[in-house]
Amino acid sequence: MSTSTSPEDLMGFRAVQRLAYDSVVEVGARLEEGWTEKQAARLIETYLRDYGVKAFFHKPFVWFGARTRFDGIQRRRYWQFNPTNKRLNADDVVILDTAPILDGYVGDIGYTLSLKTLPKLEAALSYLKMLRKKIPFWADQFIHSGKNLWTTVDQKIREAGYDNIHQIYPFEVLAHRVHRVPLSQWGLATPLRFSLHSFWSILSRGLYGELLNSDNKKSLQGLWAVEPHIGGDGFGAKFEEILVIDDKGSHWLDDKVPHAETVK
Amino acid sequence: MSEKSLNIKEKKSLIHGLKTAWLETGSQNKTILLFLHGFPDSAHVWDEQIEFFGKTFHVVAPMMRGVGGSELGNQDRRCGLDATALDILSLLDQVCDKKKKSLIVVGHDLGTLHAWHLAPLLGKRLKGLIIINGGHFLQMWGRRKNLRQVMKSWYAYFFLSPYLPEIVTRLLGPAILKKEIKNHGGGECPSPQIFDGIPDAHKSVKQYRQIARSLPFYLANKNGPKTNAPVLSISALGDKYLEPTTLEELSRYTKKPFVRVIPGKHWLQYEQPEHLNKLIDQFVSRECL
Repeated sequence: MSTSTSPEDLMGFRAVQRLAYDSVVEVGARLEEGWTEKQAARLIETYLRDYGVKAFFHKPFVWFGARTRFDGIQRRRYWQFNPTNKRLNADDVVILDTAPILDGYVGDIGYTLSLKTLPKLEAALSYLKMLRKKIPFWADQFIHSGKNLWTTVDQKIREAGYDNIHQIYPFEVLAHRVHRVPLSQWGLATPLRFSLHSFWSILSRGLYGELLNSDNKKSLQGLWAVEPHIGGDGFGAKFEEILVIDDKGSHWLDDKVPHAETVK
Repeated sequence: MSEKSLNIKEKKSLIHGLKTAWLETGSQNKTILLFLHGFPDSAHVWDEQIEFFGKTFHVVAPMMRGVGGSELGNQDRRCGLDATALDILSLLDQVCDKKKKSLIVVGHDLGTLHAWHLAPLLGKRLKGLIIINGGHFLQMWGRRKNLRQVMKSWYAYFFLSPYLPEIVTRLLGPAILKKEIKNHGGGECPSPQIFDGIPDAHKSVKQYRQIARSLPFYLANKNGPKTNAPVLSISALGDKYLEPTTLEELSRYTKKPFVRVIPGKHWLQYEQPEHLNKLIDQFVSRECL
């Protein structure tokens, strides 16, 4: 495994991450009461395809209201994560999560918002912003053990009074590696929201070393899509973006991300 | 009609990377009246309506993808329902000084399919929908077993085929399409702009295939998104291409359906502009504002 990613590749990952965030910020701004999760997901995909995306690591996930903390979603019933016909209410928290592939580069992002200002969400987003500052520091500290990073994040979330929602994800991942993928000019979609690109990307490299969960005992060097997901009373909130861990240490790929810029 | 008489401007901007053009007039602080044209028209099909309503509304009439100053680009899907809806939502942001302003949408022909697809995305912003010689996607799909409708819209099935529609509209379009417009409402219309959309017909005809790609979405969401806004359907008895919409049909897509069937032809905007303006005006005044 390479210990550092070339500047050109970092630029490629950054560009597609920014495009992914542009899509969710634009569609998020258009949301109206009554939209369904499926409609929002379709428009995110439309936006990305308008800008040349042909393949997805995973197609857009959209969750409204209590589904943002995965209420009603049972473990290992992965299809229940898919967008539904649930309609958006004025007081709902919204999570938009998408992972386009462009020129082989993967951008996997998550964005949390609401139609109107919700104090509980503002508090959660402030907490996530603090967590974002800490994660690179902890990654440097636990560079040889993903398990310790996962456990630290889990502990801090619970100490802050939130639930750890990312432990409900498949394999309880806090993060997964991202690599450049071949054949991104082909969709290679599957009946699941994840494409053959994503299955190949993870499985061809041995699965468990690609996932940052409570079992990970391998070195963390590389690129990771990190997605801490916290749960409050009736809602969840997350962000997701790429963390670069190389010989120089850990740093976020890009500081021009909405959750770093807009949360007060 | 002079574009200068009401300060009607053709404006242009980049929307999601493509040059996009639209006609706009009226006051920024009025409700938006959004006009969506069909095939093989341009936004100038609404000239009489823009002139009439421009005094009391903020009127916006985009050139649909592939027509006039609205380029199609190298992705045909940009003239499909989802991409057009996203473009229009972005356009509305650009033309409005106030975020999420209320609006009333008017569609004709293929523009009605776009109008219906856009309606649920507008939520409470949408104060009314006016459908002129057209219908909801599922309504059109439901008519595939109606022999009279199939006989009237045989051309639409031809337009779903690959390559041929572009070839035929490019080679024979100017002659055939001009004749169709003249014979079905445009005959007495003095404006030379009624044929403005025809040079681009080989591009805008791609809408038929791209709109048809939304069939799986609509079939999977038969009980899905519709609208709570009042909807007026105006159908011409002599429409060569469409059977009139019934109240029963319209009631499937809105809780506040209004149906008017009037003598006339497909291009009512040219044939009976004053009557059409009056119908729209009455509906808007009574039900939408």
